[in-house]
Amino acid sequence: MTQHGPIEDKALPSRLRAHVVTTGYRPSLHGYDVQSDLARNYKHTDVIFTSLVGELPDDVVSEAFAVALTFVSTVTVAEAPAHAAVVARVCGPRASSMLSVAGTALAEQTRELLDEHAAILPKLLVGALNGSAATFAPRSSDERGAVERLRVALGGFVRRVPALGYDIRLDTAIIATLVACGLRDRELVEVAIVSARLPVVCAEALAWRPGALRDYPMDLPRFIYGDRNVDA
Amino acid sequence: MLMPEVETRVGHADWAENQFRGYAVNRDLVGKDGWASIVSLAVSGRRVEGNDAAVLEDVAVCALAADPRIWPVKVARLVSAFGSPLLGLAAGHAALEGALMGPVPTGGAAKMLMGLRERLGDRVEDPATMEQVLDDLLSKGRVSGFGVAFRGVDERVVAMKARLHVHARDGGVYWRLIMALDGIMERKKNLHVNFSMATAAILLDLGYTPDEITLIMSTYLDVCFYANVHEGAQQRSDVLRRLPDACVEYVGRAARLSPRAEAKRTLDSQAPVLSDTSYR
Repeated sequence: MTQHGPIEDKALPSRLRAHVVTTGYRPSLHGYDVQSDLARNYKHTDVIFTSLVGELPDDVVSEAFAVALTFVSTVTVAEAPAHAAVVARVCGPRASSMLSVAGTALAEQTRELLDEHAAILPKLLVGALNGSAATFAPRSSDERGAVERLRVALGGFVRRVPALGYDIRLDTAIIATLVACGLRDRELVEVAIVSARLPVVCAEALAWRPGALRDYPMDLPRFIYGDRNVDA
Repeated sequence: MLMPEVETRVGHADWAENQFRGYAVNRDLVGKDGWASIVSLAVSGRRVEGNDAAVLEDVAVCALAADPRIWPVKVARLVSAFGSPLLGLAAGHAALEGALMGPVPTGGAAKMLMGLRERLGDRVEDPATMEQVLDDLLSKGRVSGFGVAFRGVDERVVAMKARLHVHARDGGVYWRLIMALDGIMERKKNLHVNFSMATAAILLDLGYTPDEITLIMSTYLDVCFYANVHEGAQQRSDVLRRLPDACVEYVGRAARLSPRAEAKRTLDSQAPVLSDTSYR
């Protein structure tokens, strides 16, 4: 029986467009043969960069991008993405559930971080943080030390990240580095950060035994129920 | 260790009883409240009964647009094809955050209606003033809450209009406002009120806030997800898991060699020359 409705009767594309990866058993990524070229000549962080930017990084950008992803990769269990992934892991054995929770929480954590930086992202492109740097100043001397270690790890690439000339927070410094690497849209920065953090968050969760409900500190933090019998 | 406590007004697990939104579940709610009331209580802290509950349930029924091809439902369907209805549901929900359709625009429409009513003040029944305000809004861009994909009239609004009439609840300020706007927008843009706008008006007339409206609408749309993720997880459709290659059109970069592969090729081409040197 032929069915008719607004969707059948609308002229719609008949095929799904692919912009990045070709189909088949010999895929290419933005035109580069994955198996014969990228796998033999580039490291995984270069493939991530190429996926996002559409072009391969040169050697200097490749190193800086890898440094930035490494610096941004750690999420402690105190932070909601890893904490939530741990709870999901404890609830049951499916890795896909834990991964979904971790990915969602990381995406939200990163969105909030980029929201906070939305006003200065255009400034990061040109490097000028005058008037904004104080807002993004390090929260402690420990954090100032971490930014200094980022500068050291980046080596000569620091000159391409003018924002690193300011006294700024670590997350701001990492975002500035990613922008300087060529990730010019906030969405690209968000994807890069989440991709770096996901394995670390999942590793923290996988260290827990599924079903270990009694090992999880359920009353941390304390919740105070404040609406008891108001209307009863 | 000094740590802030988190206040909650939602629930507490007592011995032999659960507290929910200020009520003891077994003592106060079981056998007394239906689904519409529980949803309202969860989101707004208010129980509903009688005609209000009937209106809410009618909105929920009118919201049943569960065609698996509708974009967010398709997301749920694609993910549930791997066998997990709940992860399909989670994916469908994730797709709705900030989306152009679904509960978020409904909350947005409610905010817009509240702003419109505030601007109109006591001239809410005056067509000339309403047209003037609408013209001003249109001059600033697209006015949300009007028009529906692929069709001229939203069939869900038609059904809801009839049900409100049955319940004698079509006299609310916001409902009358959108009915008046519907006429003006039809004349100006050939667009009609959509289900988001209609739901926003109905729920505003029932006293809900835009944020509450977003979540109440989400519970209604969930039913469409439930039906699809259940079927999707049972079917485990191969074609949803992976479309045939012929259905995909590659429009990206043409095949090319990376700089490092290019350099190796150049070196390889020089190999016979090197072989003649003392390095052999």
